[in-house]
Amino acid sequence: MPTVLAQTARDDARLRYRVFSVLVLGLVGFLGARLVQMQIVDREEYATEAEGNAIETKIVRPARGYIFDRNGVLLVDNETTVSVTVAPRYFDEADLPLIAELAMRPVEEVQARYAEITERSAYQEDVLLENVPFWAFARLQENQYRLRGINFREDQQRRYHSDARLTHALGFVNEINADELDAMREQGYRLGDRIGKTGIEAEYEPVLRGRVGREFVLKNVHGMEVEAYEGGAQDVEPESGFALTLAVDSRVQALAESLFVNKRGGAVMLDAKTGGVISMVSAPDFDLDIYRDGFTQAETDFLYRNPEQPDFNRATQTALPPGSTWKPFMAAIALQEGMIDENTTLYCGGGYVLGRLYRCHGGAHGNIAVRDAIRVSCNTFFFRLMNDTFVNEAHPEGIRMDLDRWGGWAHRFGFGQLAPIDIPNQGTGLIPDSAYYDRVFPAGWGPGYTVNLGIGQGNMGTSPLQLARYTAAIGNGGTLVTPHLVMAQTDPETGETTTPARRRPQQIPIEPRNFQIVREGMEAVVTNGTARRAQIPAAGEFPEITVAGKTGTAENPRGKDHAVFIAYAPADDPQVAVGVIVENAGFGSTTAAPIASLMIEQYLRGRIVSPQRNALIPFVRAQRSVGRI
Amino acid sequence: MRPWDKNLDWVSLLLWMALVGIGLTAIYSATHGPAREFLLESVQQNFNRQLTFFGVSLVAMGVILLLPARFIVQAAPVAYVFCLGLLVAALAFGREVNGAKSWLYLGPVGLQVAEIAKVGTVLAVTALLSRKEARRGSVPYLVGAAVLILIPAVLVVMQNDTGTGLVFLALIPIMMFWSGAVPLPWMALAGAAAAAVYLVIVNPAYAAVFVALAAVGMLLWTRSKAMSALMLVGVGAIAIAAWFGLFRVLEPHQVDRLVAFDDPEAFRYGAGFHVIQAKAAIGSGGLFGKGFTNGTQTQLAYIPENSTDFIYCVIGEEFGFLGSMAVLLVFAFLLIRMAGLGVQAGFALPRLFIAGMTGIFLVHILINVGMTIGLMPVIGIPLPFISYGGSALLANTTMLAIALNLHAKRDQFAVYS
Repeated sequence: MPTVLAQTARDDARLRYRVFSVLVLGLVGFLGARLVQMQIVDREEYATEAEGNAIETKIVRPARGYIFDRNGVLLVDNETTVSVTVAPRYFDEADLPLIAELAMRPVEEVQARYAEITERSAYQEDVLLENVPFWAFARLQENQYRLRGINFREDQQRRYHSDARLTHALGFVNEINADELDAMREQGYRLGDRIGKTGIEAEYEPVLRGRVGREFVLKNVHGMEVEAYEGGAQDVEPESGFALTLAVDSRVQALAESLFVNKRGGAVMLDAKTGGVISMVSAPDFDLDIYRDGFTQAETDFLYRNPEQPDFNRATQTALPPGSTWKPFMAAIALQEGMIDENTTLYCGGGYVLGRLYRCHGGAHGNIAVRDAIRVSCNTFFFRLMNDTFVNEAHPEGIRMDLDRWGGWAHRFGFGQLAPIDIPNQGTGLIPDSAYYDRVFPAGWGPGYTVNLGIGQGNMGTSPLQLARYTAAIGNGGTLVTPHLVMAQTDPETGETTTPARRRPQQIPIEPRNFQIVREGMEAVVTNGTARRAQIPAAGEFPEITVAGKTGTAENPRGKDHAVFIAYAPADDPQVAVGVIVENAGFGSTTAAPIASLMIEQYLRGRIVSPQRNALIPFVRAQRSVGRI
Repeated sequence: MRPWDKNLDWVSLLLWMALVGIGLTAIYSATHGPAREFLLESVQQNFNRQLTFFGVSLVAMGVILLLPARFIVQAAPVAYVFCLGLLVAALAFGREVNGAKSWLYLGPVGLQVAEIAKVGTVLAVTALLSRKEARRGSVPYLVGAAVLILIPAVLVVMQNDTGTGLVFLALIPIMMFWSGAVPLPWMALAGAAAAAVYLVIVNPAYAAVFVALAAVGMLLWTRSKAMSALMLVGVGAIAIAAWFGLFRVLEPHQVDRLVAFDDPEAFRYGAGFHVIQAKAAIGSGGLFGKGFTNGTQTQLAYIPENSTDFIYCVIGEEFGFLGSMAVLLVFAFLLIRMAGLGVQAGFALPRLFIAGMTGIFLVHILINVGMTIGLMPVIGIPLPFISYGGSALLANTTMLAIALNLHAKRDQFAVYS
């Protein structure tokens, strides 16, 4: 019996051994099947998870392109800054006081910024402290080992060198916002990138930005970078942005800006032949340096809660009546239309009657022809061009300057539309048509509503840029130039310089002799008319610069009139054309004309030569725009 | 009578060395690769210390193999009491590490007493159950065996090392199974209950299907409607109770460590984080692995405890499917071979001792590997012979040595019993 028992026990043990073996193999099969699923079937998925953990793609921002003026003077370059970034996923909020202490910043400020970041995204790395000084960087870096989730990002910000602020022309660079990010993500923009927001910085963003580089680094569980992934074999070097050479002369610009101190207004000086913008002033302006290191509240208030609107580009966005600077335009189109010829005289009895008396400043001019009408700025002459019907050999049935004929010519001179200039932030100005009057005066309107347009008053608006461009066209004999700030762009890698594509200049269909007549009138304005202050006499080795121009005073029913002046020089071979509007500063001859003439002398002679002319500078600076519009 | 050294199973010894070698390789990678700089200085020493303990284990292996089998059997009660003494001493004078008061320091050498207690416990339970009375199914003997297991289990749980305590408790069904005292259908019921609770966590629907199939299976196997009904109702009730307990009665934060493994994404920033990282490590290893000391998860410190509890991630990531599957196969080979040796020995005592030892190993392997691949909850118990841990290596080697001794010197039992 014991043997039998032993035999049974032994069989039972063998059975249990088999059960155990099956159990072991079953469990190993269970675990092994899972390994097959994870390591072979779904490997990609887990690899993505592991790489997402460990491999961080770091954007290496290229150096933004430098900006030079037309003489090669450096206006804008970059400086390296270090920002402290935080990855909330790895970061312990309790470390904020230590960070604040190390960086010597108020702890509340750091906490507030951190709250902002986590509100935006709980995972995305973002900038906690922007542009920390080097000593703070060093202190934080020493302590990085105990600041989980803290990293550093080298960044660049714009550095401005010139005395010329060029606020509105250059525009500013700032962190990309959510809307821009949505629109530009495909071009590789990321949160925290800086992009050009206005001016050249915005318009030439793709050129200035360069090509973003990529670095792949391995990051440990604490969010610290450990080493380059694959020794950096996959990295892509950044390519610096193109350098831009502006048509701007920074010395002219600096002078012009100084002349606009305490004024509201704008000025544009164009190369009369090419359309290059030699100077573009909008006052009040501000130092672009305020975009460095983020805004203080005071700076925000100054920019955006300021009734003077310093961010508004008065050189391109203003829409003010041109006043009498409109008269050369009227003369040119009336000559071209054959309403008058150079000798046609119209009678000025001191005013023009159309329902009421429209006064002519300067009294009765008697019978006056076009050149003199420009020189003395006779209102009556131009009222009549606007409203009278002319019957002559060319027009036996008679011709009258109706609103649409007038408006068509205005558009051909670039008014009432955006100029093809290479910065955003422009206004069209206003050239009214009958539809406009129907809308604004639904009760009906007649010639009495439009006759003012003949002398550049009433329901019309122009900007200094439009005025300068129109003046250039008169000076150069009818070429409506394409204004542009950027003359050339240079690839920093190859040194190759190219000209940015721009629209071809337009030819205004007015015969050269008609322009010649207008030019003679405008020369007389300066030599012997309303703008003698704009004369640039010979000085030392410099011969006289003959300036041709026209003053204007835009009537302002709500305050002091606006001073307007247009000019080109030298009169015999115009190099430059200027349009100046100084708001609420009275007569154009007093304020605007000296500004234009000083800018012209500065550009053509490289400095203001004579003592008398230098004395003009404090005189102009002393004048102020008064009141409010 | 063959000399014992001719009976010695050299294959098992080789498998043992292979596992320790794999373990040392993985520990080296975890502590001497790029990950080193993120480790505590004490953890950086893990490889050297494990190597030292391997040396100690080799000596222990040799000494134990030289002992007479009878001496080992007679020493069982003494060993058991000694182990209980260690556990109590750890509770009284032990040092707390990671929240568990399971370390006893003798001078500079720290011992994780719960690991050592396994040896004495298995030995004592084996000695008791190998008595004739127990083999005939004497209830007092079986209860006595259970109590022998429960006492150290309770002490270990009191040390706040619940995972190791569970391993002790797992010894009860294992020993019951191998003692031959409990009929297989009853063991099947217990096994099915465990599986059903597991499936409740994974997917209650699976659990329902499983219980139904198990009831049918039970009917076909035993032809007993009563057993089948017990399977359906009893195991079903356990599954439903588990479901209510885990998902209705207890708060999520109380059970998240237990259920997070099934859906770690839902616990990504809590209990699921380590599971996600561990799975990412193993899964991203692919077929061949990323290479020795090249695993990004391992070397960039995404894997916690990667020389101890999560060492399987290092193997999975750096040596891929081939490496991780090889480890499982070596284990399977060793366990099945050892069980075979136990049966071959022909006596209850070697068989039961080996049963207890292989059972403990199997539980460790299932839970440890299972937790790294998201099949088991994260319970911090080491992978035998592979995870860093001197006490565990020494204890496991001692058990293996005793098993090999009892097998090789089985002839001595003829005299003894």
